[in-house]
Amino acid sequence: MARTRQPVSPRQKRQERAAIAFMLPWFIGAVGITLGPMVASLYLSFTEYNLLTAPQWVGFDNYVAMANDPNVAKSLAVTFSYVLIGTPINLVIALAVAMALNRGLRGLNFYRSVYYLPSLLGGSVAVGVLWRRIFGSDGLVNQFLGLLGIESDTSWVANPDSALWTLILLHAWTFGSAMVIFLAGLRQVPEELHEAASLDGAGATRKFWHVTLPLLTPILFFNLVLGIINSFTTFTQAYIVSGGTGAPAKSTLFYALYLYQQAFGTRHAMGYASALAWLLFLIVGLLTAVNFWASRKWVHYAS
Amino acid sequence: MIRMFSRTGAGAAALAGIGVLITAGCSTDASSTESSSDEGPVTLNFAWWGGDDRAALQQEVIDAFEAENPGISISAEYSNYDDFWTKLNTQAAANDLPDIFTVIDPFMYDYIDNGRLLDLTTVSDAVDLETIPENLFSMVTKDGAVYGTPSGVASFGVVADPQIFNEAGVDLPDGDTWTWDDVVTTAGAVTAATPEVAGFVLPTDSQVASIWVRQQGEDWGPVDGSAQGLGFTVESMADYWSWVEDLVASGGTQAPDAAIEAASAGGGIEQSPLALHTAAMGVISANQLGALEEAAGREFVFLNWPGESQAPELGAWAKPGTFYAVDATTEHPEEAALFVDFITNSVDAAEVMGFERGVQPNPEVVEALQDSLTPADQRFADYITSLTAMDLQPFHLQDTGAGSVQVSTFDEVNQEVLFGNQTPAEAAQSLYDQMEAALSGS
Repeated sequence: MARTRQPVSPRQKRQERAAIAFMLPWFIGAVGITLGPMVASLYLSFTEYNLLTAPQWVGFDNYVAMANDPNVAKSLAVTFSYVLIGTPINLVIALAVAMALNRGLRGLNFYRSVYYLPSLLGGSVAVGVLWRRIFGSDGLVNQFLGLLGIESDTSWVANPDSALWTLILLHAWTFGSAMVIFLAGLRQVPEELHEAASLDGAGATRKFWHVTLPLLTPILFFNLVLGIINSFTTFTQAYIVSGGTGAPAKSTLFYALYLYQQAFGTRHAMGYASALAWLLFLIVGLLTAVNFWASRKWVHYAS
Repeated sequence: MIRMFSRTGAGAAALAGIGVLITAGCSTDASSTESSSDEGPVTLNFAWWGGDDRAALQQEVIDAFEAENPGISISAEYSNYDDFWTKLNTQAAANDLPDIFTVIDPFMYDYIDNGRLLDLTTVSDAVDLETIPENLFSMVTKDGAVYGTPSGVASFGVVADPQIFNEAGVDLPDGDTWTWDDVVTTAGAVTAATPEVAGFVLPTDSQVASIWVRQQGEDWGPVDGSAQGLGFTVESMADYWSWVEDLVASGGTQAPDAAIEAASAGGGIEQSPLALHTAAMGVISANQLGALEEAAGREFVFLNWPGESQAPELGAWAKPGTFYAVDATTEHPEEAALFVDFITNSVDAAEVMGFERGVQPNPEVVEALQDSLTPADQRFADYITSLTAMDLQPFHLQDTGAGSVQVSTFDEVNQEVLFGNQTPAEAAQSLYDQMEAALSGS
């Protein structure tokens, strides 16, 4: 496109400078903390690097080793179950609570804050420790079961059959951020559409499926994409609950946790960990692309 | 000054890093402040792993050193064991190691092999290495160079709680003659009599297994001392895990999930089943006897490892647990060596630290401590002395690659056995295969 140079007023110049000044912190972060390390990790993924000596170029060795590493398959299986089970549960709860809160409730701000709180806390170390207490062998859950007359001294966090489920539950509990976004979306649904549907004799269920949900699909899609990405990179909860080991019997060996073990554990295999990071990046990127492609079939944008 | 490594610390460091970035971008001709290294006080960084109790003692030692050496000040950094290594490895990558830090096998071998530690024989006028028996240096000696001083001789050991045995009406086993089967039957008997108490703490790490394979004349590392290949057989490991299955089947130990939960909680010995009176016997790092007895409020007795009198070889070991090492690129090697000498050879320092990191390596220091020892420290010292009096096998070095995965791989495979996912034979094969795959030569 042809650029005709227009005289720039001092005011515009000032604004431009201000814009640059405001973008600078983001730019430093994006380049210094995200982009730079990404490029470096791409290079490192083709090297053997133990932090103590300079990286040695090994070509695709790390990627070949990953294909033969049973822990990669295991951690992918754990992570996929977490994502595929945890994310839908999380979204359903978020939507349900958002719908409940969207009825012109008194003190909405208060409830919204209360339900949002777990999202802020869920990824914290403190909640990881709390989870151990709740699901430990003499934790709250067993004490509650005891009140119901069910004797149990199972450690839910240390039993391979249940450990992952406690983390999925933790994930479901942190529905707040998706809920807030749903709530904002629900407010955009025009009231007259609901009224028109009511006049046509539609009940609450029909109104939900045929009016609310279709109009909400862009929001749902947004939450789904973010939810999947976040679940894939889950680290803190698994690290705290299993003491950084992915125990018991690797049942909580999340991909991000395994990556961390390789990088900062006793092997400090930074090159291998970088290769793992790039596989995760590709998987998440691919899933997101599939998501966008599939979204054309079910997401309705109001035009 | 104590600077604890923490998340806020890391955050502050990150912020500082950004600050540096910005100021570096802005400043045009900032003259770098020249440090006058010849005159004025020298500041050295000293980093170790451990909790607050150790830090308090260590700070006392630092104060004493600074009082004796007015020209040198020591800046302390400490963190828990896992964070310590994460941080140290990162500092090594940035060529920003602390001047003095604690190291341990097998992780220290990466540092030794890559030339990151100072050869202390080059500063032997500042640090006296002659005071310590030569064999205590064997793990940190390579081609005549010495890369650290031992902090103390330590070991693991079985302890028993006589009061629980008394209450259960079960005889305390004879540590000189008991067998591995005795462990199972005794543990089962204790739990049968007192159901709330585990007879023997279920081993969730590789300490007991290492004794087991050593009794068979094997070890994790090859017994020819070459540090190449693996030193244990699949058969021995399968036998070990069969014993673990017997122990679980006897009922005389915790449920596997409870044991795993306790082990991964990262709590100190104060929260261990032994300290809480919910276990009659268990394995501890022997230098923690004092901490255990303080937490439990009662006395424990050391028993020799089971099977020692029947097995082909003695499984027990005693070795320096931790070493003090100096950064190879420190600007002040002499001063750093002076400090290493102080924490290794000074009676003043030893009186503060006691046997916190094991029995002091310098016999004269131990002699000078005799009168000030607590009863628990005395029994710990007696235990170590009784071990070193026996003709113990040396501790065989592991291949660096296999050694770096041995601890975590063992723990994982052990859990497969505990939860019944793998038979002892399958688990033994799996451990062997995974460690073989990690050999640095392959």
